[in-house]
Order: sequence, then structure tokens, then C-alpha cells
Amino acid sequence: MTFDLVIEVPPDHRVTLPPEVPTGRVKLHVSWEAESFPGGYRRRKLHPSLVADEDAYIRMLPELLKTHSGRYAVIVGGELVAATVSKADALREGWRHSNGEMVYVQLVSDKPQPVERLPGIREIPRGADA
Amino acid sequence: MIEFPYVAENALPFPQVRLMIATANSGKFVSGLSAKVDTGADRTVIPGNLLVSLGVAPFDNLLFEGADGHRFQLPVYQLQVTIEGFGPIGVEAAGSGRESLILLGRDVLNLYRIALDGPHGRLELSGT
Repeated sequence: MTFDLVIEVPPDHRVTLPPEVPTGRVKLHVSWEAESFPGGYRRRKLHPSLVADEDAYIRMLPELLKTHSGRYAVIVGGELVAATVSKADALREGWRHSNGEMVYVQLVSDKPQPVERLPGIREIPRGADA
Repeated sequence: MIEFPYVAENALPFPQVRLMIATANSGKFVSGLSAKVDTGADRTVIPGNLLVSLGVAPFDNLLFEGADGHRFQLPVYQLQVTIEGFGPIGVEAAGSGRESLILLGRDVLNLYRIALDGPHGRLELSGT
């Protein structure tokens, strides 16, 4: 028996198979194909309430890259409600449309964003390091 | 322009601002907070106990890199930050259970003009 299955593989690689797979000893054939999106966008680890808006963003991305590159896109209810220069403005516009609920905001770009740095090294005074 | 005195409780005083943090939807807020100005941080960091007080849930998890190159994930929260003397701004801040101070990163600092007067132990903040 074969069927196609699209799953999110977590870092520990533990996945749950659908109930159609019998328990006990079975032989599995695994193949994989990474999802790829325009602009090299990678799915975020979002709150479940924002996943539908991320899906909408991915659908809009080819057009957004032409029209709003470098701006923050704000998606509420599957619709683009604003494209702003600053993230602060994006959140304000998003909250205005969502009554303050969390909103999907994404910088429209075809370049991968660098990992953010939080240096935060502090000197421990002598005698306080015991 | 608003002035904030440095925090001088250790050997190397550091610049800080006073602010309020609020959720965007529940009306919960914590005011009278001190935030360390951290121009080396790409993003603002909020201590975990403060996030518990606000009862806010993370909307995302992001990868960060420390000064020694090690990488780690932190939850990220959508919050309103209001620096005393200025209007509220929306921020996507990282939450850390290990951090005891609010670290005000460049995601917020870049929205203001800032002058650091170390000899006199004060920070001057003005809007753009």
C-alpha cells in the first residue's frame, strides 16, 4: 500500500504516521522533497493562528516581490492590509485590523535574512563568580 | 528631548530608558520599567517573568547568535513599548527566561535620536 504524505519534520525527527499504517513490523520506503517558495522564503515556527496568513503570504509573494520589495507586508485574514517602511508601523496597522490580536508581518525580500545577534556578554565582578 | 540618568549600580554605569510594556489586545501593562540600552542587540529582549505577568503568548520562534557565535532559539512576542515621553510603538521582542533586564535593541533604538553623555551619566532621547 502506498500514499503521499506531506509532513513537518521536527528537529528530533520524530513523526507520527497516519492510522492507515499498520502497527507492528512494516517496511517503509521514505523519499523527501523540500518545499521551496519564491524568494527562498522559509516557513516560520508560527503560532497556529498565523499559519493561514503565512500561506496567503506565500501565495502572494511572487507579486509582492515586484510591488513591495523592502517593505513589511501585513497579512490579516488572508488579505494584504498594509505594506509599510517600518515594522513598528506594520504592527500598528496590523493591530488596527485585528483588534490587537497577533498579526503576520514579514519583510518582503528575495534575500535570506541574517541570523540576528544578541551579544549580551557581561563581566562578572571578582568574588561573584564562585 | 527627554533625559534619562544612567544606572550606576555597578562599576560601569550603563544607559537606560524608562518605559511601559503592554499587550496589544488585553489591556494588560507593566509601567515604570527600566530598560538597558543595548546597541549591540539586533532585537529587544524581555525577561520571562515580565512576559508571564503580561500573560502574552509567543507568535514565533527565531534563531539568534551570541557574541561567541553559539546559536539558540528564543520565542518572540508582539508587544507595545512606550518610552516615557513618547508614543507607543509595536515591537516584536524576544523573550528570555535567563535575562533579568529588559534589553532595548536596535529594532527600537533606531526609531529615535540618541545621545550618550557618559561623563555626566545621562542619555538624551528625541524623536525623529
